[in-house]
Amino acid sequence: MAKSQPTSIWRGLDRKAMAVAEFTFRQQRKRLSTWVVMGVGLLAMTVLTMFYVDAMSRSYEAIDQDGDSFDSDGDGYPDGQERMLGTDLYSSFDHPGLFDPPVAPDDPSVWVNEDDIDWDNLAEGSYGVDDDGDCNVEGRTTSQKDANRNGVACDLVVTSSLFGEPIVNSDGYVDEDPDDEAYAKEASHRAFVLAIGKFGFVFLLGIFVPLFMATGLIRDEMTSGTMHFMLAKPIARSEVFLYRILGFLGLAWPYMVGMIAAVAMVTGLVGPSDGFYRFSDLGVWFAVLLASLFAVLVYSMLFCLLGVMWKHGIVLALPFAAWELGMILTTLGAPDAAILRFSVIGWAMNVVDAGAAMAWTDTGLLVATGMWGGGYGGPLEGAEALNTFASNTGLGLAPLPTMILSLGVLLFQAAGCWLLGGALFKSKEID
Amino acid sequence: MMPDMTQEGKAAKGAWTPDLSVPTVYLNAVSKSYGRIHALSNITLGLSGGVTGILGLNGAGKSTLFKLLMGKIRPSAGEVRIFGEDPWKNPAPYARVGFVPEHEKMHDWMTALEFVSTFARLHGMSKSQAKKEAVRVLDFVGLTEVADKEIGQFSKGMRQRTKIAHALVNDPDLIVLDEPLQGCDPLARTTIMNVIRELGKMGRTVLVSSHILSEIERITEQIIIVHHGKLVALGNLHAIRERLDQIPHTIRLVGKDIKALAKDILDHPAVFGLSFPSNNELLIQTYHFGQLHAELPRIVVENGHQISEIDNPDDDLESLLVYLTGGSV
Repeated sequence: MAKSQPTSIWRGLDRKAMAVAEFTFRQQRKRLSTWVVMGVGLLAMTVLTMFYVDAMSRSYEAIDQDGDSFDSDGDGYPDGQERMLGTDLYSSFDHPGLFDPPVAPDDPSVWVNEDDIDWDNLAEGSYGVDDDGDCNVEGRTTSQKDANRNGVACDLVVTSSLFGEPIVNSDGYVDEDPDDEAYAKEASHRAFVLAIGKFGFVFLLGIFVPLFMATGLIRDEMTSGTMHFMLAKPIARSEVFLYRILGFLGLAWPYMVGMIAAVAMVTGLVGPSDGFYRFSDLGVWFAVLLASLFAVLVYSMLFCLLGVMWKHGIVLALPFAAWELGMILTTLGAPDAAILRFSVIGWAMNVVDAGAAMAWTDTGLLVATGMWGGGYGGPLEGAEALNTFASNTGLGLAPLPTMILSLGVLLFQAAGCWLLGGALFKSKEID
Repeated sequence: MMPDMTQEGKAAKGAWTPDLSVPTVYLNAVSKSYGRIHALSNITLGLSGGVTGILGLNGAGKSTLFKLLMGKIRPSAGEVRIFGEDPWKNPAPYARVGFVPEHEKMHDWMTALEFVSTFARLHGMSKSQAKKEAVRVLDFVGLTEVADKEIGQFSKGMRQRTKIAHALVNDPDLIVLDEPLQGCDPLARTTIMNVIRELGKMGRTVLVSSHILSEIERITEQIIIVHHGKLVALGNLHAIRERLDQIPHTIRLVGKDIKALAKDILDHPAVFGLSFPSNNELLIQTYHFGQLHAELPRIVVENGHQISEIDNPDDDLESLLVYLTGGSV
């Protein structure tokens, strides 16, 4: 039957790849352990998402950071109103009620959360808007209005300390009493997206799905003897290795896509936004997706290799998972640490951070102003969480080159594990 | 459930073409040891065409020999070649090989048709082609009716036949079967034996291992006897057996009127001893086993005796090995 012969060697390879991948995919689907692992993953992500929904639906206490809702002199006018209209805060005989025509006193709540956080309003090096107008009052001199000496009246300047910590230098009375709830929700939302993206998807699912499903891809068949059927066919062992992984990815990748899409859907609908959905997060989710898929690829190759190396390969994989945990924690505080180059997760985190830097250009400002908190008290609620989970990209490159380089490195790691695993498998005697 | 013995159509064999000037199976001074245990020592062997039975007790080295041929393990010394290629280094010759492993574990979640067609695709066949070939070989081993049932529900004999179908799907020139009859019921045994004989008639090189002499005897005359990792005999089973006939042999009969039968047999020139282990049991010692075995049924029938059982406790591999190795099994 000459006509049925493979037209080229690639065609034959392609058919073999499909056969092994399809076989592996169906085999995994028939296993209870597959559904247990995926079910536990789903459960964990659902619980985390419920915490998020709770954080979004609770109300946050409106704190009067600058204390200007207080009526210091007891004349019925809040300090903020008196300051803006130029009357004496500490004299009950000087207040806007004596104006002609008299001005009615504001309700104290007007002077709580009177200054929004202006993350939409950026200019190079100069941030902040005097929403309530108490900086730009007539009675203040030009030099008072530009206390930070950057030539712009009533703004904030964010600089870096020697240790890279942002320092906010305010002209005074700018963003001094931000909207606590607006800030907390925006910051918590971003913190959650980054936290579940980095720790939930890339790290937890990214490691544990391959750990339980890919470690035995070759080893289980070697142990049970069923590998003999496959190895009695004209197929190289490194091909078997690769195609088994492809079959595993056929199940694991759609699972990751589904989980990430579901969480992205929920957070997009529940999160703070002007429209019905937060489209601005999609870039971050896409980066999380890319990082997760590549992490699953590298980890599955590596764990399958460890399974080939030793029948208790999972024992070798666990210390590695611990190492990766150490590395992901390192990325939070020191994303540019050189040791991260020797991990998988460090490169995957670069991808997420690069995506976040491209989708949310103002996260740094949000963290800086939130940690500053108006200049009177401690950080705003949500600021510390966002500060924890948001990191700079670690390579000192622009976001896009960082992402491309990191994905390239992950691909290289996967290819290295495949070559090594294939060679190791080839040298194994199978009883 | 008798198999259809006509194989039609050849499976795609890919780009690899075998060297026909060399033996299909060739082993040159091959040894395999695991640490200090010598599983095989210094085996030299060349085989092409026909059915060859590999006989040996459990642990004699039959499976080790097959694993070497199938590139699962690497020889400690010597060279292994199938179709002139080193199977440890190059899996390409397996395009022309079918292998039935001894392992009982199979992919129980697959149907027989899925199992055979999935592995057929590893020969580079398309999906539809693989299915067609799978249907053909499942019919060949007599499993058409259960082709769509899960292997997990199969009897031992059906599982063995599924494994054989999987090995035959590429229409191989060399078929290696490791203990294919083990654990099978009599019907499955007969079917599998017929299949193996048929493959031999088709000119394929078939290697089949067993530790039961009578099984191999029903399949082929060409045998190799492996013992303690060494090749102790290679050749025609009948020639070996004829020489075996010259050594004392026992035939055991069970019947009602066993002493009357003993009287009729006593005069036969081949008989040199009789004994009665129990009331209805008779043991006959003979120097000409083949001759007596051939004449015994006639004697029984002519004198109207009733025999319920007849067997040859000595006519097994152990006795053959005692003879071949001079008494050291």
